[in-house]
Amino acid sequence: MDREQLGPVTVAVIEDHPVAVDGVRVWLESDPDRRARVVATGSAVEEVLAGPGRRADVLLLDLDLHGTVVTERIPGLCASGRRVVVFSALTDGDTIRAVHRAGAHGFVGKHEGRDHLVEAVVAAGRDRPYVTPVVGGAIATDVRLSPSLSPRERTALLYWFQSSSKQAVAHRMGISESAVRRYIERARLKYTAQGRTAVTQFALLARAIEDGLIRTEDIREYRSPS
Amino acid sequence: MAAVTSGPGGQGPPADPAAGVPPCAGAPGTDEPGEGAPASEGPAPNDPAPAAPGADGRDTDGPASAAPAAAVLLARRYERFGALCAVFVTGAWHLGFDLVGVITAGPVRAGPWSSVACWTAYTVAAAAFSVRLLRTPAPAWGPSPPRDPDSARSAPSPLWSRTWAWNGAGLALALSLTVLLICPPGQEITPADWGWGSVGWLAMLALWHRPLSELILFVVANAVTMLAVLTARGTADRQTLAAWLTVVVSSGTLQWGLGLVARMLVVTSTEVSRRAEELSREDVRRARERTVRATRARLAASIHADAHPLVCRLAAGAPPEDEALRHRCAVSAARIRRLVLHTRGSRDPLADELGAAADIAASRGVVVDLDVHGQLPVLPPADLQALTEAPLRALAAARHCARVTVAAFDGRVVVGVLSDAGEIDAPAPDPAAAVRLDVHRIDSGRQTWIESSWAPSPSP
Repeated sequence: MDREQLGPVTVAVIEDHPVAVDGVRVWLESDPDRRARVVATGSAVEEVLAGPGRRADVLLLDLDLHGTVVTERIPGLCASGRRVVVFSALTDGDTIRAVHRAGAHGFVGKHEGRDHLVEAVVAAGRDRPYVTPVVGGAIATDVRLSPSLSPRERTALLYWFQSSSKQAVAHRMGISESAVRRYIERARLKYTAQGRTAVTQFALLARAIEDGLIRTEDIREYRSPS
Repeated sequence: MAAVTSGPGGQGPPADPAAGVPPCAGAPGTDEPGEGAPASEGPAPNDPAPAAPGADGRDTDGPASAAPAAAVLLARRYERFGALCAVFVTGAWHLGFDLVGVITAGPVRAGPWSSVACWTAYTVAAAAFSVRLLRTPAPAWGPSPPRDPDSARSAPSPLWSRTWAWNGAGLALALSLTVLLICPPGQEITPADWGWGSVGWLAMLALWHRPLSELILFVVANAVTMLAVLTARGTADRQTLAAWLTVVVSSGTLQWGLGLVARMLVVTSTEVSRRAEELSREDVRRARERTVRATRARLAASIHADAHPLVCRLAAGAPPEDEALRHRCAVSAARIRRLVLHTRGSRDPLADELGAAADIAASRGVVVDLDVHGQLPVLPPADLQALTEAPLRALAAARHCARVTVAAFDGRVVVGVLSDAGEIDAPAPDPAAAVRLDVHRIDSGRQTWIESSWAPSPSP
């Protein structure tokens, strides 16, 4: 059954600043289609997983909890089948790559705003790739990925990073928005394949095959070298 | 370019004070496929994008990774100065001493013109060795020779091979022996035997870029040859041996001494230049750190002066829906992000320059979002200026918001500025600066999208 028919994506927010928790709740509730809703909040991983948060579709995780960067918690969360979306002010390439390697579904910079957060959470809940502009910049400039990205994929990523508007990217490249999204998502899948083979990433690849983004025979191409 | 409408959450103040800074352009695209813009004003769908980065990405090191050019230049100048000295001394000795010996010498065994023929042969050989020394690329001297940016220079001519050098030294020794043998017995240590004290200069030119021990070996071999001939002819009396020793010490010391001094000059100048460059880099690093610290302090003071009252107002119950208050919050949030960027060690001149321009724009109330990704190479100053010229103008012209991005990959740097500036008078970059500029008007002309990109010049 299509996850989109199952109702809103449930979200557990792990964030140590109450104002940010409230902000996330407001942002998700302001989505016209109400595609996601917060079911649990807390300032520590254990606290959230001890309650209704353990059954949430998506864990929205602030990387910096009480002054400690908790990237090393992500692999364990992902290994237990949870979809983790990181929501952080630490948006440098190294951090984004570390988060990705740890197996997170998505990454949203805290400065990127409501729409990217909602889209990233909903996409994660439905096992779809979603690339925020800041992640697009990180992928486009990742030297390890350079040989794998096609020129069009990198151009789409770079324009997305620059403009934050798929419509503007589509105009600039002279293609449709769906084609832009396709380029970006394919690049994201290649990026995923370079990271850890976490359980959630298999789900991401499976959904990509369902959506026709890649073919089963392409999986060999995306196999992680690690 | 066709109009592009902003996506949700596009222009204007942020939806929530906690939201941070919204991008100047739209947010995520819709999921409905097939809504592409007319392609008539853009490139054909199957064509590469105009500035498609990575399509032909070049793996070229930035100028920062180049060798210490000043050390190379200084070493080369000292080396050339030493070579000119060697050529001059050889020529002066040959004209001022050898020629006098040829002219004033009495009859020689092998005929009146044999000494002149040897002198001429010496002249031709010296001229050839001088041309090789001054005109052909030679191996570098120095304790740890810096990489030469001149590729031709870094590939020494085959004429500097050991075979050629030893052949030249052998020719000099043969000339010395010939001049010695055509001298009548008893005239060996006289101006008539001008060759044996002079060929050391010729050998010095031939062995210029060989180890100094080879030149010393030549001087010794030449002296031993002379001694052997003297002994064989039975003319090695005490006076002759004293004269032999005097000539060996005087001319030999001068010859290998000049070679030694020339080498030491190059070695020392290279080392001094390298140290000077290190000190200069250290000075630049310290100056940059001071600038970064000052910038951080200024930003921190600005944030304290700006954000603290805002937070107090919000805590005191100021209405979050107040547009002016939200705009001020957005500006403050962008400032804090740039402070974080500075605190996390951004000390790149490009990021610093854009950050400074962003601060100036922010002081006018413009919400500036700055994102940097990739390892930024150090650009030549002229290229840096050309790369930032249009982006800085776009920032200066921004009215309410601007998104500034810097992406570095495959040795290239791309600066993007999307702002609500109007027409920007951006000068076309100098093609020699390896900078490309693309300017697009989007959102029915309400926004300007500038992309300034730099790629290192291909190696010649």
